[in-house]
Amino acid sequence: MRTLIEKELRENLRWLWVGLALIGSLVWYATPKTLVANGESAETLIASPMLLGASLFALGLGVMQSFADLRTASRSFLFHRSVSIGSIFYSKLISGAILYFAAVGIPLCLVAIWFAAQGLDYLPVRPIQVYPAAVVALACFGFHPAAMLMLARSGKWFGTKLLPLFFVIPIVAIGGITINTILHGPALHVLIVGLILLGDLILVAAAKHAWVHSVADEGSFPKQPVNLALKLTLSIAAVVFVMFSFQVVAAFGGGWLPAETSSVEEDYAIDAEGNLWWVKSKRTRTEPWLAFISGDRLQKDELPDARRELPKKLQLGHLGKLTWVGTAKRCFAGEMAWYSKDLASYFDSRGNVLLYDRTLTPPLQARITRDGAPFAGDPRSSGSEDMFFYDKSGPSFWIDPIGAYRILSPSLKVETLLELPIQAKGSETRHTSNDQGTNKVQTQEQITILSDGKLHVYRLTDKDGNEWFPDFGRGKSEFKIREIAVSPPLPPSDWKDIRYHFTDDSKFTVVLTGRRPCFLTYDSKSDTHWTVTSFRNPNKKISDDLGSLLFSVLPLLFSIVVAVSIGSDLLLSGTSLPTIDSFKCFLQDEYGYVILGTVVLLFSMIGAYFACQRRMLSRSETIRWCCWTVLLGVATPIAVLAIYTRPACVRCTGCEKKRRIDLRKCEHCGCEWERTAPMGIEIFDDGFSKSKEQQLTPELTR
Amino acid sequence: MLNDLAISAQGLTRYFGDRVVVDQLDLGVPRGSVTGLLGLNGAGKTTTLRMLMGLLTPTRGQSQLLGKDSQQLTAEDRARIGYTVEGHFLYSWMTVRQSEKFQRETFPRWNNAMFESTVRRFGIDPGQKIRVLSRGQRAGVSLALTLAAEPELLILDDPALGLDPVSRAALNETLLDFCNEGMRTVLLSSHLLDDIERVVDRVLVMVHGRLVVNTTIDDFRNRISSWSLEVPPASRAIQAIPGLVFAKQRGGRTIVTVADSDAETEAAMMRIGADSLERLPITFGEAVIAYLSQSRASDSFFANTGA
Repeated sequence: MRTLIEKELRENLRWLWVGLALIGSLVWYATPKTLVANGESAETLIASPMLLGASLFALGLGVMQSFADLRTASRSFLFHRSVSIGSIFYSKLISGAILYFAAVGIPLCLVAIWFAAQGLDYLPVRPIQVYPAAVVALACFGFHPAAMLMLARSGKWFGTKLLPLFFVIPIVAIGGITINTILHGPALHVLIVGLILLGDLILVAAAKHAWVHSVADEGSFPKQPVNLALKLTLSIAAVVFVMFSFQVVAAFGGGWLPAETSSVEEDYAIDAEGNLWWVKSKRTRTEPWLAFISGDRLQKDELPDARRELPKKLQLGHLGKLTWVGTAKRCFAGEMAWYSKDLASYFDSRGNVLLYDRTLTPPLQARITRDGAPFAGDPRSSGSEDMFFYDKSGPSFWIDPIGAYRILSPSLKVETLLELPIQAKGSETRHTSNDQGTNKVQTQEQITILSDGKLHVYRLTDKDGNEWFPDFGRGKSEFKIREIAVSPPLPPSDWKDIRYHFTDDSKFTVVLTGRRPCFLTYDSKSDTHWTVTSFRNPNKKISDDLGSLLFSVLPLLFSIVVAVSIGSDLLLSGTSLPTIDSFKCFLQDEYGYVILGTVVLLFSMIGAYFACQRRMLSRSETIRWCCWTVLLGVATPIAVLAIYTRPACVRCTGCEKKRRIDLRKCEHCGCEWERTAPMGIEIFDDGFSKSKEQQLTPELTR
Repeated sequence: MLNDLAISAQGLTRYFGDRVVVDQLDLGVPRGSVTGLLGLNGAGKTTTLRMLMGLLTPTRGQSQLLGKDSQQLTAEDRARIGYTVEGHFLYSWMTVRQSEKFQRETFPRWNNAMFESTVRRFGIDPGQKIRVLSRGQRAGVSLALTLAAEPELLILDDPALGLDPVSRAALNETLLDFCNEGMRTVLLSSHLLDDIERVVDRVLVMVHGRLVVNTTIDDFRNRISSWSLEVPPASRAIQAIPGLVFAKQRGGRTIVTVADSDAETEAAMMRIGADSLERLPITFGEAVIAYLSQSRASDSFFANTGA
């Protein structure tokens, strides 16, 4: 095989220079070289062009390597030697991989070296940030065997020839996960790389089968049965193709779809009296804010019905939500926070806060640590961007899982405000009418922390104790933090999803949904302080008209993948999983889509049946494919047409029906092929002319 | 009997779409023979050879090379079989020496002396790039690469295509030398009848995807005959001659070529009113051309007579 690999490398070396030029220029163009306001993080910037360049290069390389040696003369010359066709295939794959990884690896290594040489003094970048691009490149290599498969299998260019390429899309999507999970533990990355390699292995097995068994068919009905890898590849590719087509329609032609493109959410709301409601809110494409459309007041031990009409003149507001510190995502993305045109902070993945001023050289102005020790977590990554304010003369506030701090300016020293384990945190913007009583509002930031079963609420105040509003407060030299601390009378083990609303300092409501869903009302003026009311937990439901439509017509396989993904997200975020009640509710509310989905499934089965008939599959295979329709949906007919080749037919001289040319006996009447009548001019010597009838063997029958 | 055959096929059939190109071919090529495969362009020769080599799947039927199923040939089986493709495909970016290295390392046996002598015979500098070689020189390299692997069975697809007379002579000499060394079997497809006659001892003729001749060259010569008759031009009765391969007009007389003629054939010719019947000498080339012309409508006497 070494000789074959050398031949391939020598033959295709020129494409390495093309790949280096393409990928190198794309990656270098995208690499951040200066601090850019609202710029994306380095790993996103590099991974995106890598996706484009590496996909094109892998595809092109696979096509060039295959096309050159699949033409009749060159294939005959190459295939007829004392090596197996499998070895020829693998030599092409290995040499393609060497060239490909050289073309993607060299630019990535150079960028990593450049990042290391730059250091954090100039840009908040580290060499590890090229890692997602490397994983994406690994995933994009799938286009190489996909191209080899595409060229080796039969199929029309305007038919299913290109279908194997769609199999690579989910592999690349899996690779793209690393962009947001770069700082996660190794287990996740092993899983991601493992899934990519598994996908590539399936593709390689399918491509090898096509090279060994299908190339010699040259479009005729294959003698060899289709292997599992090829079936799997083309079935998944067909599913992805269908999904991709729907995405294209949804992106460019959402208006053509019959459903109104709106989404409906169900959630808690609170009225001016402090009563809790379970309401349905709607968001449309043209009006992207949530508008309350119906709802029901939460009553003791009753299940609210969100479809009830809301009383007129009811003023409702949203509740704040605590985010569990432990579920904060760790990633580089979005960590640059800009406070002015030139000033930005960056949370170093090692736990330091770096302050950059891009008007100065070098731009790095300070590394803020917690008395020399790194911070234990980045609040920005848990979606609490408002927690960290920085101004050269203003206040800074910081929370991590082990404490709350403020950063003194202009010294940039860190003062510890709280030193306690913080399980959850949330920020809430309070709107207050301004002094003139007009509709203009001031926003006041308040931060809520859950620590050891106690809720701490912090509000910024000025030196006189008045509440401090960031909109007006910038430039004030001093401030204080006013704390309200309360302990809800339930053990923390019962808490799962925590929602809260402060009417004022003496009165607020906490909603706990967990093992025992209840809402707690706190009133400092009452004797007992706390009132606990349990209720039946309504299942949170988010439905999207367009999404429902797509879900009802897309393959079930896709729905299962999405459901597993949503389920794992819900588990991670501590939200309860859908129950039988929620399923019943879904059937009640979305029966239209259920009917549509059923109709689509039936039509898919009919389509699969006709596809099987067209490909002349046996009865058992037809039944099997009709059953697979439940999983593959509308993709099934496409998969059948792609996997099987239609045998040519000619008219049978026995029964006049069309019969398959590859079978010895007519499938309708059992008639054998008629021997063409002798022309009377044949000259055969005795040894061979007379023996020919006897030499026909039963193996001719398929 | 099958063990004596280097090549055999039973009911070998190939369709492209719903058009049959090779139609239920039964053939046997004995070990140690040099066999010429003849036919017009499009007769199905290359398709047959590709199916025999396992490079094209037959629609029906099967074939064996050296006793192995053509579709199941292993790397070891292929090492025993030499094959040159039509047009002498070689990697144009390689030099002759690189081609030799590539071939040597992908075949277990290698006769370097054979390679060098063949290359010398065609006047090729081993350091030259393939792309600068003439067509004849490429044929020489191709042949040298195939023969140096010391195959037991050699299959050549139109090796003399487009060669000048000197290259053709060199090709023939090389083949004869190769065949004289041991029990080797050669199947040679060509349009050059003189070369075939010089080299082969068996002949196969294909017409419209069917095999019409499969015999020794001597048997073929003996069993085909040519006659000059004096019959009215365009007489449809001429078709009644048993074993009529082809008929044409020459100088007011009709020349007919007949397979397996006997007393009945002569009687049939007399019956259609031939005043004078003259047996003519016929060369191998003329006999083959009669078969090939028979399949081509434009040259056909039958077409001219409206048959």
